[in-house]
Amino acid sequence: MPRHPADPSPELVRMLCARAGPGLSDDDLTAVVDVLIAHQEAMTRLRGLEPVGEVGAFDPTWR
Amino acid sequence: MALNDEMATIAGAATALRDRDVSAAELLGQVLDRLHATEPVVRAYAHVDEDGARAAAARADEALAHGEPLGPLHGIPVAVKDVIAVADMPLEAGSRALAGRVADHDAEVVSRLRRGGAVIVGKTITHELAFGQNTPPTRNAYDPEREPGGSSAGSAVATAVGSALAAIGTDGGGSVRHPAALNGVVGLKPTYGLIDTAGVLAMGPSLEHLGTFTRTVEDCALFLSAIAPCPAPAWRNDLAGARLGVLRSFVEASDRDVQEAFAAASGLLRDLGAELVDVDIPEIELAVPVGLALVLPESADAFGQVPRADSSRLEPGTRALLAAGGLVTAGDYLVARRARPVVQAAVRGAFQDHRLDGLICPSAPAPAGPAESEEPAMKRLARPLRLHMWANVTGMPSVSVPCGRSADGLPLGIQLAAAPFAESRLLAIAAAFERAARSGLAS
Repeated sequence: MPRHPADPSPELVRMLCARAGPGLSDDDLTAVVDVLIAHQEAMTRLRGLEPVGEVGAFDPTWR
Repeated sequence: MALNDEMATIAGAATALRDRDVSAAELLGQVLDRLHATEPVVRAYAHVDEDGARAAAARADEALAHGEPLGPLHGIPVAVKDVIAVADMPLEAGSRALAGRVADHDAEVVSRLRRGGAVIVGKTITHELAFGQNTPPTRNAYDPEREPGGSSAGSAVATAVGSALAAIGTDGGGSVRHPAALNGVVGLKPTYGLIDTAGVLAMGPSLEHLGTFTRTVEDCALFLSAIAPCPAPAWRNDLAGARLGVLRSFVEASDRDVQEAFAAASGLLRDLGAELVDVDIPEIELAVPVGLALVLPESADAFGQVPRADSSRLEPGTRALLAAGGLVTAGDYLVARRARPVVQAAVRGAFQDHRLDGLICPSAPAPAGPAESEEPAMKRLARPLRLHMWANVTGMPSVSVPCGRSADGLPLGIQLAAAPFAESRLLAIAAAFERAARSGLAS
């Protein structure tokens, strides 16, 4: 199984490979694992935000 | 009359058609000549429907001859990105996984184009599923060794080379504005939902917008008026009283050529009477993670719902990204949904605090790069995505207007954004800038 050189989570790579199927190069995997790692890091920040307004709402009053 | 620069605009061609200087059939013939001359080099089209277009042009000429009411796009040849359904034309979204699919109905936007009198030339090439992970065959309109941008690559290039007078694209994170900048045309992503997306193969519906490519801002307004409820702009010769916020961090993150062109454009805006103020909106940097946390799982779900789609035939990069979407948890998706209004509120707050009419920044962080690149697509996309995703997350309208050239002569663009549903004001500001920039080039 290809490994992301700096990936702290081999489990993430294993799950990605299982979902994506065969034929992915190390470059393909590395790029997407980077996205997932960045996603996980960003989630920590997003979870700390103070909610405003409706979930997912687009504010129609801003003109 | 030959397809000169004036005729290659909607406004110019519409005048020529109404004055009977040219027929719709002749205009289409000239556009098809341009298409045949340029396609071997730029590869903008996935499918060309010459017979259908000639029939539509003939009907347009009959209507003209009989004095029937004419729509705003009467006899105007246009192109449509191949993620949008056009009846009896392929709908393959640039993917072998969808090879052989033919649409059995028009998307709503295509119905509106037809009602407006447009002649549909064909379907334009897109990155696979509009994801930007593969390398499509389309080449930059100014240099065939350079990338066209994406994912609405073919629509931008067809408009730039004149193998359509305008085109429709989609924009889920800059896919209209970035290729517009790289190919020297005007690209508008209107307010979220302003153009009905029914019949669009949208991989991330929360962020997906339909948008337009035209050769001028005036054409942009004409084109938009045919497909969306939008009042005509009140054109203005100066920008006295207008206050524009500069997203300085995006300027500073761009290449030197871009910074210099942006500085020159800022000078022009000031000369026109606009007041420019630097604004700092830290929450804008949340837009990319919010956007990806929304679009990745939505894409995985949307692709799973496409009938008979063969995922084993997807390009590896696309397949990997869809797989990644399946790993984003429902909890993370909901966190991103809650974070979206935070970004919207911050941008709205900046408009109120600074009494802004709009925001400006570059619409491409660098001139077009090499057409073939070893760099992973996600890395190449990161810079333009940062300049664009905030307008998708907030849903506000944003337009890319040509703004000078790089040292290598490649087009650059400036992005102007306004409050939701303020397209008319946005285009009036953009047109004033465009006129000043063109007269500066001419002098």
